[in-house]
This record gives sequence, C-alpha cells and structure tokens, in this order.
Amino acid sequence: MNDISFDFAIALAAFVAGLIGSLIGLGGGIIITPILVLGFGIDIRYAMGAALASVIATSSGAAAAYLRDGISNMRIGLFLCLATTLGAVGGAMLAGVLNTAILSLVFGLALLATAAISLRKSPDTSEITLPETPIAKSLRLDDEYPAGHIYHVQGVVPGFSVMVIAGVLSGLLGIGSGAFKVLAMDQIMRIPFKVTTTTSNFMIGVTAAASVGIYLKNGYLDPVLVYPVALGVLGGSFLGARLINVVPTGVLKLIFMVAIVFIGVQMILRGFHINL
Amino acid sequence: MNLSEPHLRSILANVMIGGVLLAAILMLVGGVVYLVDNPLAKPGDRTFSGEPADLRHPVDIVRDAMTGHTASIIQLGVLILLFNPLIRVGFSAVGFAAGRDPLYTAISIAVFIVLSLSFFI
Repeated sequence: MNDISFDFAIALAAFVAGLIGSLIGLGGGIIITPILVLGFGIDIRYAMGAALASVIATSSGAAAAYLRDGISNMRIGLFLCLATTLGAVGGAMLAGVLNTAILSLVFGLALLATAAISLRKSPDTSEITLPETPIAKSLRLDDEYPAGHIYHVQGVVPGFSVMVIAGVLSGLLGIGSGAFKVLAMDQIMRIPFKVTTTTSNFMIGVTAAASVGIYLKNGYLDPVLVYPVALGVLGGSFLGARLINVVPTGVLKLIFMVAIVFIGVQMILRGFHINL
Repeated sequence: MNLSEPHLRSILANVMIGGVLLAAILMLVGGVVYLVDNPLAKPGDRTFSGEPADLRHPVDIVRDAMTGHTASIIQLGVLILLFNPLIRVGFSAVGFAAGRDPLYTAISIAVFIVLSLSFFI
C-alpha cells in the first residue's frame, strides 16, 4: 500500500473513531490508538502521539462550544488541572522509559477500566441535597446548576487524587482519560453530571497539552501520521456532535463497549507478545 | 474582565475555534503537498525511530515551516493545536486576576507554568 491509500485508510478509521467517540461520550484517543496499533501495525508511541494531538483538537472544539453556555465550572476545572497536568508530565516521562509491551498491557487494562466505568450508572444526585464540606467551601468549588440549585462538592481530596492518576494515564497512554475524570467528578465529588462532562472537556485538552510537549521532544509526533489522524477524528467528532440527538446512542454504546473490551484484551495479549 | 461575562467567554471560544481551524488548515495543506511530493513513499511508522531533531523543537519547526518544508508545515499546525490549551489557561489567569480573585489567579498561573515547562524544558 502506498502513502496515499494508507493515509486515506488511516483518516477514514480516525473519522469513524471520532464519530463513535463523540456519540458514546468517549474521546477518540482511546479508540484510535488500538486501531492504529492492531489494524495498521504502527508503533504504539507514534499512535499515542497522533491520538493525543487529536484529543486536543476535539477537546478545544467541544470546550469552546460549552464555554458559551457557561455550564462548566472554571474553578473546579482549573483546580483539578493542577492534579492532571502534574500527573500527565509524570506519565509522559514514564512513557519515554517503558517498553512498548508494557505500554500495550497498561493500555489494554485502561480500555477495560474505561468500559467498566462507562457502563456504570451514575448516582442520581439531583434530588438529594448534600452537605457543604469545609475544603470545598474554602476553595469556593460549590456553584449553581441548574439555576437556583446550589451543589456542594464532596470528596475533594480523594477526587484530586484520582485526577492525579487520570493525568498519569493521559501522559502514559496518550489518551484524554475522560472516563477517569468523569469518575472522579461524578462518583466521588458528586458534581452534577452536566457540569462534570463539560468541565471534563475543558480539562482534557489542558491535560493532554501537558504531556504532548514531552511527546514532541521525545519524537512521538510524526507529522505524516498526525495529520490524517487529527483531521479524521476532528471531522468525525464534528459530525457526531450533530448526530447525537438523532442516533439512538444507548444500543450503540453497548455494542462499542463490547468492542472496547475485545480490543482491550487484544492489547493485553499484545503486551505478552501474543497476536491473535 | 471577568470570565462570568458571556461576551468574554464568547471571545475566548472564538479564539479557541480559530486556533483549531488554523491548525486544521495547515495540516490539510501540508498533508496534501506532502502527498503530491511523495506519492509512492512507503509509510515509515511501523518501526519507531523517533522524529528528526528539526521536527521536535518549536523554534526549528516555525523556521522550517516558513521555508515551505511540508512536514514542518504540518508540525506547525500541530504546535498551534498544542498552544490552544495554554491560551485557554492564560486567559483564565487574566480573567481571575481582573476579577480580584488571588487564589484562582495563583492556581491558573501554576497550571500555566506546568504547561509551559513541559513545552520548554
């Protein structure tokens, strides 16, 4: 296969990954890297670099859209970005010293964890009034959503700690680690779901940017691979955002979670040098 | 300037979308020119060798992109993409400072420093 058809196939795969990612609420990063590694035989480090660049592109687009409606909580987002960016720098440095077999293994485990988190039902906090916590009060994390309803942020310390791990995974694997961020904010900090997802979107791009500088220096960003991946994912997620109210996402989510588990197992096997 | 004001959020949103569009255009132009120049080249991504030094450093990338080197033009698009979150956080720092919020000004600046260090160390 020559460059043109190869690039076109990659762009098409990235487009589909971006489309599905935005429909089921996952970033393209966690889907596109295994496709590039398992389907196109690309080195996982180049795949991670291209995926991370596309994560920043989609996050910036989505964050811009959410910024206008003012739902995302900037204080929570920036406070938690302290945790994720520091974690991401550590993760990206770690990625530079680990071998590709270990990266594949950890990536596979992260895929399985993502599927488990995504299929979990989030607690319904809309009717419950949670107590104010001293640390959230002094950091002024509490806000109002929906209008007239104040939410009190819980578990700031455990939430912050999970964000450090989310950051490490982002830097280590070249993913946005949105599922882990949502886990921390939704399940531990008990922030309203809509605020959680929009704030997570703001954070994903900032977290990814912390590790991508290190990827660039380590030579993981191959422009010839980055452009079909980033443009494909960007186009796919753009279309996905417009189809989200048209397509029945419930069934789609279930189908792709099964696929993600399957891909996760393959990545783990690849870590043990077993190719199916 | 206060980020709770809708029109300021709207300006930041436009800057971010503009950045993504500019990056996408550069990647597209660079990619098309690259394909025209190298229609039969075999993709070299199967084995990892690391990118050459001139595609790793921001200053080299900008310099080579100006001379029309296609891989550098794509990489410049990537760089613009990467600076987008930096602008986002910098804008927040200014917004919080103007709103006389020392705690969140400090937090924004701390995040900004971590991001900058990862680009420039």
